[in-house]
Formats: sequence, C-alpha cells, structure tokens
Amino acid sequence: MIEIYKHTLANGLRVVVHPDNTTPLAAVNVLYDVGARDEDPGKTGFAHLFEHLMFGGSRNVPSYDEPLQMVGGENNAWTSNDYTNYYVTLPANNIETAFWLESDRMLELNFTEKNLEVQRKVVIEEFKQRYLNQPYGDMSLLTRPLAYKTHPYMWPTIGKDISHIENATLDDVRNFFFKHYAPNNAVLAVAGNVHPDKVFALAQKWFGDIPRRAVPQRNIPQETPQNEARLLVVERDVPADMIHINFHIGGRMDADFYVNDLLSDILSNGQSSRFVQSLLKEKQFFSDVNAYISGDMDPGVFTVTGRIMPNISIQHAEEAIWHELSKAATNLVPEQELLKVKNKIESNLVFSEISFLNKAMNMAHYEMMGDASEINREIEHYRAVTRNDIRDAAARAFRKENSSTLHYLRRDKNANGVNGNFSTED
Amino acid sequence: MMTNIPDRLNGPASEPIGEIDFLPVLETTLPNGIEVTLIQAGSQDVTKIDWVFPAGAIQAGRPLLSSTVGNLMIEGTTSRSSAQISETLDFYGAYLSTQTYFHNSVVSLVCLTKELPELFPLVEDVIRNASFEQRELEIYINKRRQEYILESEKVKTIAARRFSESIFGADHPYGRQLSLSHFDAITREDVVSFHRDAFTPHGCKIVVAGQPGENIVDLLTRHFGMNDWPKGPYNGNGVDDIAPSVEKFQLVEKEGAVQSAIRIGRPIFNNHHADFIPLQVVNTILGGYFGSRLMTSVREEKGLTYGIGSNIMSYKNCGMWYIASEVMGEMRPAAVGAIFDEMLRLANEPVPDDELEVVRNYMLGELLRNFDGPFSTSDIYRTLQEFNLDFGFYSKMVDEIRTITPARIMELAAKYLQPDDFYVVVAGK
Repeated sequence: MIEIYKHTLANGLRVVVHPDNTTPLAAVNVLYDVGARDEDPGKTGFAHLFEHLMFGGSRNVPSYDEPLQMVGGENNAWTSNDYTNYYVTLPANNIETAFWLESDRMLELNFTEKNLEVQRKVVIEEFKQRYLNQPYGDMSLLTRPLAYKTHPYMWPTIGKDISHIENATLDDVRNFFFKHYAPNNAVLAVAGNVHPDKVFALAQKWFGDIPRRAVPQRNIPQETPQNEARLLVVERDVPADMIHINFHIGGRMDADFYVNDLLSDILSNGQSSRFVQSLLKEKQFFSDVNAYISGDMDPGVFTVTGRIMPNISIQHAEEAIWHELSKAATNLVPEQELLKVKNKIESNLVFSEISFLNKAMNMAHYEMMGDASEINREIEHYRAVTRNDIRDAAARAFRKENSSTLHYLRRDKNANGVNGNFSTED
Repeated sequence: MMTNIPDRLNGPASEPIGEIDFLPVLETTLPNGIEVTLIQAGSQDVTKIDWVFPAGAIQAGRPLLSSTVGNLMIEGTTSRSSAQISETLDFYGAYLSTQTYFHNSVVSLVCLTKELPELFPLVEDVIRNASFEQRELEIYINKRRQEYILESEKVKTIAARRFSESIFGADHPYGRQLSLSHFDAITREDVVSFHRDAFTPHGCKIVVAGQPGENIVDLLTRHFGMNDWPKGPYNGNGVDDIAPSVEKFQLVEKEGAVQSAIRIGRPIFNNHHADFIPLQVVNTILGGYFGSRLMTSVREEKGLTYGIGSNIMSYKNCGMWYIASEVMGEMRPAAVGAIFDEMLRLANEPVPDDELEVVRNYMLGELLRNFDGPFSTSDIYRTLQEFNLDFGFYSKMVDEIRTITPARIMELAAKYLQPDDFYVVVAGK
C-alpha cells in the first residue's frame, strides 16, 4: 500500500508525492505523454533522439548533468512507444536542484546545431550497438511491421531506419518540443524522504510559471483486425534458429490486460511455468522460451518467442508451442495454478515497493493513465481474474489468423563456423 | 525560509551531502560454527538470505563445474523433484538462485517474510540433499552450451574474455576461459563430489537482510545450524601469481562487425593497498560517471560511442583497472587514441577545482545510493567480508573523497596510468 498525495498546478502539471522516510534520498520523476507512437512515419526515432537532446542544456542552464552531480544526484531517462520518462535520484535535502533542472528544460531547451549533430551520432551508435551488432538484434525491426500495418507501433523506439535520425533538422527538433513538452502533458512524481506540502510548494515555485501549451489531440490510425496468418522467414549469421509469434490483444486500459498478463505468466513466468516444464525440460526443443505482453496503451501484442535447439526443426518447435497455446485456449487452468501466478504478482508488487525510485516511476505512470491511487488497487484486478477469463482470452488471442510469425533462421556456415573466431578458446 | 521566486540562472542553494548512516550489523554463530550476519531494516516485510559457500570456480579447479552445481541444486533432491521445487517457490512468489564467483558460490533466497517457515525446509533440502539426476544435468548442460555459443558471437564478450586472458594469463584461474570442451567433459560424478566437498558448513557464512522476524535465528539453527550436517574439507582459496601476456595489443577480427568492442586496462592491486581508495577518485574522473572525461570526449564531443566507462575490480590477491566501450568500427583507432589522451591528461594537468568538486559530491551521493536499504547494504557487506574488511573501508573512502587534492590525483595518475602498463584488446575490426 503506497500513501499518495496529489495536486494539480494551474498550468495543468499533475504532481504526485509519496513520502518514504526510511531513505535519506528522494526520486524526482517527470513523465511526458509522448512516445514513438506520436512520430511522423517519415521521421521515426524522434521521441528517443529527443530524449538524448534533453541533456544538452536548457534556456538558463548550460549543462543538465553537472549541477545535479554537484549536489550528489544521478539521472537517466527512457523512451517507449507510449512515453518518455526522465528520473533523478539525489539526497533529499538537495531535492530543489532537481526541480530547477527539470523545470528549466520543460520551459525551453537550448537548441543548438552542435548538440544535435553529436546526439545524432550517439544515437546511431546506439542503433548499431543494440540492433545491428548483436545476434538477433534486428528482430523488433522485423516483427513490428509484420504485426502492425497501420499503427505506429510498427516501428521500434529507435526508429525504422537510421536515415530518419541522420536527416533530423533543428526545426524538426524545435517543433517536436513545443508540440509535446508541456506542463499539461506531463506528470511530476516525487518519492522519498520528503514532505508533500513542501513538494507542492516547490512544484509551484519552479514549474508554476511555465505556460500551458497547445498539445494536439492524439489521432493515431488504429490497426484493423487481422484476418490471415502472416509469416516472414529470414536468414542471418546467428548460432540457432529462433521463432517469434505476435498475437493482437487489447491495450493497457482494457479489461483483458490483467487476464493476458496472468496468461503469459502461466505460460512462461518461473521455472514451474508450462513453457519451461514442457518445451524446455520435457521435450527439450528450446534453449530459451518466453511469453509476454507488450502492455502498450493502444491495443498491443501477446508475444511468444523461443530459441530452438540445434537438432530440432523449426516446424516441430512451432507445433509444440501451438500445442501449449491450444491447451490454454481449450482447457480451464487448474485453480491452484492460477492462484500461483496471482501470488507471484502480489509478491513482485511488494518487492517493487522496496525501491523509492520504482515507486516514483509507477506513480507517474498510473497518474498518466488516470489516477496514481490505482496502484493500490492493482492486485484486486489480478485477484478478480477467473479460470474462464484465462481460457477465453487464450481462445481470442491464439488463433492462426491473428498471428504474425517470424522464422529467424541460422544461415548455413561451414563446419566449425559458430565459434570460428575463437582460436584461444581451446 | 524558501523564496518563491525561482533563480533560474543560479539554481537553488544546496547542502553538503550527508554522512552514510550505516545500518547496524548483528553477528551470531550457529551451534555448528556457521557465522550469521543480520542486517535488519526496511519498510517492507521481505527477507533476503545469502548462504555463502567456499565453492567458487577456484575451488572447483576448472570452469563450469561450480556454476553447474549451484544451478542444479534446485533441479531436484532425494525427496523433491525439480518440478516440485519450482512449483513451491513460484507458489510462494519466492526467488531462489545461485551466483558463482571465483572464490565462492552464493545461494540467495528472496521472499515475503511470512513465507519463510514454509520455504526453509525446501532450501535446506536443496542445499544438503541435491540429487543431481543425470537427466537434469544433461538438460542443463545442453541449454548452457547454447547460451555460451550465443554469447560468443558478441564482440563485447569476445573482448572481455581475451582481455582477462591477457592480463591474468590463460592458465591462471582469473584468466582461464570457458570453452566448448568443458561442456563435453563434465560428469555427474564431478558434480556430486564437488557438491559434497564444498557446499557444507565448513567455511559457510549466512547473511540475512530485511525484516526477517524475531525467530530467524531459531529457524536458521534448526535447518542449518545443527551438527548432523557433515563438514567437508575446506579449500583455502589459494591462487598463484598472475602471468600477464607479453603481447600488449590484440585484435580479434569479427567479420561484419559494425562496431568494435574495446577493453583497455592493466593488472593492479586490490582493495587492501593504500592507493586503492584514492584511485577510486581518479577512476571516477576518468570514466566512472556520466560526466567523466571519457564520456565527455568519446561520446559527447566525438560521438564515437553510445557509452564508455572505467572500473577497478578487486580479486583475492590482485585486481584490474579497465576501460570498456563499443565504438564505431571504422573509427576504432581514433577512439583508442582519445582514451590514451585522457589518461595522459590526468597525469600531466591538475584537475580543475570545480570538476573535482563535482566528482566529490557525485561520489558521496553515489555512496548514499549504494547503502540505501538492507538488501544493497548486505551485498556490500558480503563483499567486504570476503576481503576481511568492514564498513570502516567506506568511512575511509568518504574521508579520502572529501580531502584528496589535485596534486595527489596527478601523482597517482602519473604512477598508475602509464600507457606502457596497459593492454589493448579489440574485437571487431
């Protein structure tokens, strides 16, 4: 149970606070309601590039990091398809510095050609490091456009093509800022050794004079229902075949979110899960197998992936996955098994509340979705899910015509190819 | 009194970073001699328990064996199947896992405190009566082999492995690398006998953190403290002197790599040396935080990488200081050059006062973060214990961070950042 205090400034900034006096520290988290789904199809990767630019100095502060480090702080940020999130942890007695820095960059960024040029290069190196230079790194670049034909979830946050980043101009950057970065499009969450009234006063002092901005109404083209199975086959220099299947499901605010989350846990969360017990241990078809949901705000996907053992054909592996999926869609899950995954949700919730930074991030997320206090009712939603709900959700999702399958195959190489570079590893 | 007009140019006044409030540590000994450490704190009724056994890769004498034993313990005992064990753990929302290090293996349980009485019999069974069925061993080894093959494709892994070989020696336990042949060689007999010898009360230590409840010592005594648990032969953790390679530069070519992984570093002493603590400050300036010189030069000014950092690692009787990054393939020589430039600059120019002030405060803030809460405190405590150190080590570090001078930093850099002492390993092109 998290104790939550809320206040909204006149300019629309929502402020949520959770006091936790067991730590000498505090977390200040600013969540903006902008993500990769808000990008122009010709300028993808922008929300994420923008996240990098947010550290290049703001109207009155030439360096974001230095003044923060000077008071013992540390910060980072992430971008998803739905949101961009910035967070700071610092000694609680210096919390006002975080308000200064975060408010100044909400006020206005210092847009410079030099900063843009360097961050373009850094993001391109990030693209290479994460998506091009890792085995299986480009999978999301393949699976997203297979599952989404209309919705901007078709590209990952890094963007669909490096050239979009290379071609970003300072004008693009300026427009993006004033369109999406605004007090009325953000949530400020603070957790740690703080007093709510003091936090509200600081929020008013530093954020109060930032003007409300005209944030455009979101008008995202939604995906039309899929009605035939999709298959993409690629070959790459990787050590083992992989299979990746996406099924369309609902969005984060739909009732089936909790059902699908539990269903994915039944399939693959923990050593006792069905996939691990059946596919990995009993059949030994896979060296790794997973099921998870995207949890996106707009209707998302239920994903099943598996890395296949060398002597097993991808067809066999795929059949074995479908056998488990069909079982979930046909038979009621035993009461005890459902109770088990619910218990695990509950214990994970308690574990996540150990960290004041986690609490700040979660509060911001829930407030953005409507109400931070919903965090405390989360477990009730999970507890209310029935065996029938699980079976029905599986039957709705796990249909061939609702599936987008990627066969990511190992390119045939000569005999000892997989480890050929390792002259020193005897 | 807070003013209501924001001074956006200068920012608010700040306060000095507070002292670390080290959590109290209680120590006790079970009837069979196992030392128990209790760090009781936290707002949630959760508990983390670590069982530390002198059962690392060094005692096992070869790669793969100790981690296999650690991971296979939860895959079946003389009275519980693998499925029963995972079913129980998942039902109680608990996590039981083993981490293997050079000199020890650590079995960790994280759970809601109220489930401890249900989980203790299971953990006792797993640690004492693991059965190591042939079938479970095969499943595990086949899976691990695939993970190893996959890891071996990554330039970062290729560089890290070759680097350890270079600075410690390919035959030294710290430099010795896992290879495919180890997967073929391991047998059930090896596994059973290493478990029998090394996972015993002899040399075992237990660290408890969180809010474990009042009867935790009774529970530990009942399940892990009695004399019916036989003691194995204790292995004293000995390692020979390191044998660095003669070759100072190595390139492992990887076809089609668009980035090269680089590791640049040197062998160095461990945390018992008088210069270790002040060197932490030098390391932070060089590559230990986001505003570091390496991040500023190689990422923020030149845009050659997504990230670069440096680190000093302590081992039982030596250590290593290294810089790691993945950089634009065709610009690799420029990146390596920029790294050496920054090392030399630290030795030749005094660190400006404002930069040093930032680093001092950043490091003090980082220590507060590291010591926040019982779980992270117990992890630090466990590591200190391995080196026969206590929290006093960090009190000394706080003093050093506050008082070190630019002259001293230059002197240390001149002594320990000599380019000739450094090994360069590149994987990619």
